Amino acid sequence: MVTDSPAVGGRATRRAFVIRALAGVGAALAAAVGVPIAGLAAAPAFRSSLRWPLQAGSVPPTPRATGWTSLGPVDGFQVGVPKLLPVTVPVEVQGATEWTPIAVYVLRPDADTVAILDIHCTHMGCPVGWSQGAKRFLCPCHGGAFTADGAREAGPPPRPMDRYRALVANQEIWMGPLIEPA
Amino acid sequence: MGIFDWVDERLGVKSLVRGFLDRPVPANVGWLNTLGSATLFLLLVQIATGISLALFYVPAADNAYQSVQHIDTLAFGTLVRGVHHWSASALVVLIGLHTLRVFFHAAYRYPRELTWVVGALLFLVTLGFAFTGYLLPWDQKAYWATVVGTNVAGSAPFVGDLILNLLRGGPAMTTATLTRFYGIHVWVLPASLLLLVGLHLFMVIRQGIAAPPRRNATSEEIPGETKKARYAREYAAEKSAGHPFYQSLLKDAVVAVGIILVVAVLAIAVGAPLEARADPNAVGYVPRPEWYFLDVFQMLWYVSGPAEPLIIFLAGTVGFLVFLLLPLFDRGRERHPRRRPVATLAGALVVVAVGVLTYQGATAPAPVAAGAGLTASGSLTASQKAGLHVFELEGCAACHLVNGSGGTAGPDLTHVAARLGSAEIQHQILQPRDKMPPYTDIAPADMTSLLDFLSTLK
Ligand code: HEC
Repeated sequence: MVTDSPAVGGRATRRAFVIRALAGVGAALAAAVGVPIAGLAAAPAFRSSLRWPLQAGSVPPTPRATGWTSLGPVDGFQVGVPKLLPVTVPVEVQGATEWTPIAVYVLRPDADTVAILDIHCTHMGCPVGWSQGAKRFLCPCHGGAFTADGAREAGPPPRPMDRYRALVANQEIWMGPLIEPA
Repeated sequence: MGIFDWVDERLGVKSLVRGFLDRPVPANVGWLNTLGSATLFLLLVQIATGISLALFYVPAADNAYQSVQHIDTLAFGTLVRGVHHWSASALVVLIGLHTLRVFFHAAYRYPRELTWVVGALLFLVTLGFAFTGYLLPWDQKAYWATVVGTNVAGSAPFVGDLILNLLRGGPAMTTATLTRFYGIHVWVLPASLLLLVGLHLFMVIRQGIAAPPRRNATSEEIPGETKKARYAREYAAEKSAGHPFYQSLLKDAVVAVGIILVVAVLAIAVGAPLEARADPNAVGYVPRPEWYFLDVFQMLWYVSGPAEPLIIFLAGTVGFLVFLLLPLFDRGRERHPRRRPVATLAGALVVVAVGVLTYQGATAPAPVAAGAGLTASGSLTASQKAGLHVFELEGCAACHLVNGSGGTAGPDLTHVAARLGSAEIQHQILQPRDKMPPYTDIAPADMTSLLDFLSTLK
């Protein structure tokens, strides 16, 4: 009777070889199936704009608008008083362009300049509120405070409020893409 | 021949089941040892309720909220959703208690080191379930807690951006985030869970249930005996003085019944909460996470400044690695809590810290929006009333408590006049240190009445 016991000289090496070969084939099969699966799952991380910063700040949860959107006549915005404005902007979501509601603060520090601020605190992304009395943006989460033009003033936020590109054309304010935080 | 015998002739598992039920366990294995089986029981409850919820839930931002509302209108809908919600909380509590029991009993010592490692991974999987689960209703709490949660993870050095994109399915919170969390919640985590639970239980049965630690050694050391041989000898003695496993199962059953009753009562009486539909533009909404992440949320108060992301990241990863690999560091012989005071104290400190942070997070009053009314104490003079008005208008209450209402970014000012004189208060308002914004633009008359008002807070 032929036994396949490891003790039997030549057979032992043959047995070990077959088992190793099987393990190798198994590993190759697992990789062949696993790499594309994991790759697809990780696809959102393959953006060319991905950064590797030592100090990553929070990232605004706002969908990134494409193109320019009119926010209405510049006269509708009082100088010196930030206005919370809901807008609907075109956003690319999973390959399709969708009109998505977001909200921004529109500022006119003086008659000639406009700035458009993202409403999210740069600490952890909570929605900051404008306090007309304090003339400041205050965050309800960890007490961050920003000045009337969005500069970082107090508390944990690491950078000023995030901005969108803004321009005035034909007496209308236009909102462009988010200026990605550095 | 009965039906069972007929089946067993084909399966041949009778002796296996018998061996499982009758295997001896150490004598003083008691109620604390039911925590593990209670955790397992709740995991099964979650799988069962989760499957039936998944039949109705729509994982897309446009419809998720409505589909959850719809579940609540169906027969048993609120009950099943309530049980899923409350047993998720109970699960976090129980897996925590089970971990503490194993830690304080040092039950992870030879030969159970790997059982602990797998258990630590199961702990992580459970928190993963909790984190991905509460986004799914797509209500305000879900949305904002996830914004903050993903940003905390995303602020890690070097890999932060990568993690954030992997978690959100892109840089922003969109419907892609929701499908991703759903996929992780119902496929990735359950698959890992089944694998890990299987491994965990296999090891528990293979190595037997650890005997609860004794304060004094049960036997003399035999000269020349190895550590492993001594363990084997003592464990065999514990087992032969013990009882068959099925007797312990009785306690497990009692605990399981108790837990499901508590969960069911909570599910019926309180139900699963559902806030307003997620509104990414909800200025004025105060984000708060589910209670099991309040400690992290609260910790953000204490570590701020440029090093914040690094500290949070290091605390998270180093903390988890120590937790995961604990059996490799802690290899002494003594297992009784009193005989390893350092480990016991360290464990107790962690428990207290988590408890205190969670309590603080849970009881923190929501910041008052600037201009909202504060209840003034006592009767105020005209100037003091004007000062209260200034206090409200300037948004001081967003960061300071007065008589229990206000924010907590700054110190409670209810008794500020007992601590500081007017000059010191004025100095603080004009030239604060880093954490409070300077108020150099308050008119002199307003400043006078503001100080007048603050001087009443004794
Ligand atoms: C953005 C949050 C924030 C706002 C708004 C704010 N404070 Fe403060 N305040 C703090 C913090 C944080 C501290 C403690 C650290 C420090 O001194 O900078 C503080 C400290 C103080 C103190 C010292 C208290 C003590 O016990 O040492 C006083 C008094 C005070 N604030 C008054 C005010 C008044 C009055 C206003 C409104 C005009 C105001 N604060 C607005 C955050 C704030």
